[in-house]
Amino acid sequence: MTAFHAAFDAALSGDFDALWPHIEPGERTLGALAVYRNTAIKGRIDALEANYPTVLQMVGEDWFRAAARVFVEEQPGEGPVLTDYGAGFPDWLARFEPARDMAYLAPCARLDRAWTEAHLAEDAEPLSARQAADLGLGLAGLVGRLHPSARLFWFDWTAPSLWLGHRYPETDAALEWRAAPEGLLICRPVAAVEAARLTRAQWVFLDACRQGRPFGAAAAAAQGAQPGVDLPALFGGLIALGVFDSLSITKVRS
Amino acid sequence: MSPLPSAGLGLKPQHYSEAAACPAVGAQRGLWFEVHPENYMVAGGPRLSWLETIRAARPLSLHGVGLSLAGDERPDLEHLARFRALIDRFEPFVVSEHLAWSRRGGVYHPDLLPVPRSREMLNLVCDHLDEAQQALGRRMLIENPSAYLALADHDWNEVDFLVEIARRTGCGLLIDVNNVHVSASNMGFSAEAWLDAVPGELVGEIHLAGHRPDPVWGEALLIDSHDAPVSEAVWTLHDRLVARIGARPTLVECDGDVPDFPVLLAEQARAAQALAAVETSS
Repeated sequence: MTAFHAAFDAALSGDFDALWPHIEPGERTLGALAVYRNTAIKGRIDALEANYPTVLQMVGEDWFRAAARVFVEEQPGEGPVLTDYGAGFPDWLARFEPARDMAYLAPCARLDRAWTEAHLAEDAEPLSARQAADLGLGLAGLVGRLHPSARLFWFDWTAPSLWLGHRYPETDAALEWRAAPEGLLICRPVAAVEAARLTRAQWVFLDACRQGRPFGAAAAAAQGAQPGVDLPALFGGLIALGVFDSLSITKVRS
Repeated sequence: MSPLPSAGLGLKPQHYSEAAACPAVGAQRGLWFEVHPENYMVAGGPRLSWLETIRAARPLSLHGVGLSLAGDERPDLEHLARFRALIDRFEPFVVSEHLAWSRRGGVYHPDLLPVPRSREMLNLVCDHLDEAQQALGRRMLIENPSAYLALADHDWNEVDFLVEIARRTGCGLLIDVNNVHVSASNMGFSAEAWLDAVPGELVGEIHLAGHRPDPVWGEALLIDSHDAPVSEAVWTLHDRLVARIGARPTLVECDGDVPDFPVLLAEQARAAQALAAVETSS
């Protein structure tokens, strides 16, 4: 390490003392230091704004940037890949005192984060209906891994509706916050990130798959959650959403 | 054969489809694109597939912002590996970084931070650059940053320092003419004299961008904000540089308040004309 870097680093946190021997002070010195401090802070806040568009829309730009300013001081970030920046923002929002009256913010931030993760996740061919049909009766014993982009959620409150209403306005989801259980799948089977509501039986089925259990066990779990559920229809619906990874199934089979 | 890269544009996600569809005629014959590799260090998805589509039609430059070459920590090996993977996949015609630092003690600052041009810093930068060029398997171009703060302990002027780095590491230079203008204005030196001192054979690329006066200090403190059109003063400096050293791939950068694609293309066309003018006269 060098004395200069240590001193400049401290100055970025507002402690200028060690930096004076390394600069030629002038009337604009503090202004110049502010440029560096502001650029770094603005870069992080801009990244956060880009990564949490629904939260931004809900609270407005002024509130968002003021809150983000507090967050970036606490979690300044470790790496130059700014799409990764602010992964801890949803949990932080849940603890952020001024957001206490907006209990929907943290869950909606989690869904924004899942959208970004799905957007940038590894590419994979989703399992098609044709491939599933070819697997025939052997299907029940196979493990169906989820597509790398798939993110599953189950909430006791209506966070999925609220989030869908902002992020996918064409779904006409009700913009209301009440205690009613809702499930959501966020997935990018091909190019576009898609969001779909899940029934409890669908969520239980996918949750079992996520845990590495075979399709047969997932079907039994779904049946337990919703006795009498139409399993072929449930499975067909999930395949249409592109939520399974075709490759992992082929691998297990061979 | 595709035409040689002349004037390029920083590629923004909102312009992907227009960039891919842009016909290679007129001023856009030599159009190329530049991206920050950090924005493409992702596992998969449409960002990478768009870049593949655009790369199939146009030359591409990878311009890093996160290597922290002038830092007091060695380059991050994982970052270098991800950078290398992008180079192998997209085969850029040029790879560049900044004479600046951004990472220290486990914190990344999204900024280009300065160092004094001392012997200690020269050794650090050259060691890091040697390591980076080795890991990336490519000669890199190093860009002059914008200066805001008068540092003590400079042993070299900026051009001599860049030339010494190039001599020791074999790297080339990316001359950001807007940064020269901003630094000259903030530090009180002659931008013309600075540019006139640059050895033309080291220059592999030129950057142009917009700047703004500081909200508090006004014209006394210019900020390299990349959110405005290229200023007339910078266009004039660009003309002066290429008149002396000849045409070089010249990029128009805009990262904030990004206008519509045709507005950027108009600036790109102006740069292409400036390059064509020196090619015809030589």
